[in-house]
Amino acid sequence: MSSGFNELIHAPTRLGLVSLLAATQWAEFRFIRDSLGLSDSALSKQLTVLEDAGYVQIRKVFVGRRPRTSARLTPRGRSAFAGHVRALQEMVAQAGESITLPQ
Amino acid sequence: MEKRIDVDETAKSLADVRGRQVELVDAVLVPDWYWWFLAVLSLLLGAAVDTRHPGVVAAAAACYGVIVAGVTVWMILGRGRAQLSRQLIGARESAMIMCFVWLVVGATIASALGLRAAGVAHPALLGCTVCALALVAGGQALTWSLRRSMLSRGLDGR
Repeated sequence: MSSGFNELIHAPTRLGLVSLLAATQWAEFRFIRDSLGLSDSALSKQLTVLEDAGYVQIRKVFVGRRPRTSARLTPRGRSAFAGHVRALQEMVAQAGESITLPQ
Repeated sequence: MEKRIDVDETAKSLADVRGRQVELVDAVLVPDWYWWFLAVLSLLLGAAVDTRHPGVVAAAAACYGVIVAGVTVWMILGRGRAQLSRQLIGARESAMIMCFVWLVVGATIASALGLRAAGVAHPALLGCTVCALALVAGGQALTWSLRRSMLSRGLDGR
């Protein structure tokens, strides 16, 4: 496996989560939850794992009296995701495969 | 056989990464109704300006500015859900948006002034009709171009 391959990110749910966050500056908890089709607790758990690894920063602000939670990838998380994607691309390229990406 | 499965899974993972990017860009880009909304507002503004009643013109201009700014900011900030990364909406995309805005504003003012100079009735409304057509046709083309430009970035969003 390539050195950029990241077991923590590669788990399907976390890969979806990090892919989503990589394309954003920040995303709201509800938006992530609905996009990934996860329950509140499942998303919280995954975010905590990524936060503990230093890949995600969680921000909680109050809008009026209601808490609003959002998440963003840290520079370390972006770097790890970029390395992971490169590793996946290298693995596919070495196998001589080409993939059709969704447009 | 084992390696083959790994490669398939890897390819699927990459497709999933791109799928998430596509979903996000589609969720954050402005919908078509936004351009129609701006077009209708522009026509109303043109009609108000043609009344030549200072109070009506001032009120219409103020309402237009507030509503357009409010809705646009709401759209740009991702309707409070997510904000696209600067890697996706970078200098190229910002330049496309600015060029479009200046083209629409320039075409509207030039046509309205030209029609007024030619003595045509309702020059503001006709000028704003040009604006409305540009917004509907050009706006949807702009959204499509932005989408294409953003998705031409690498899978890691860089």
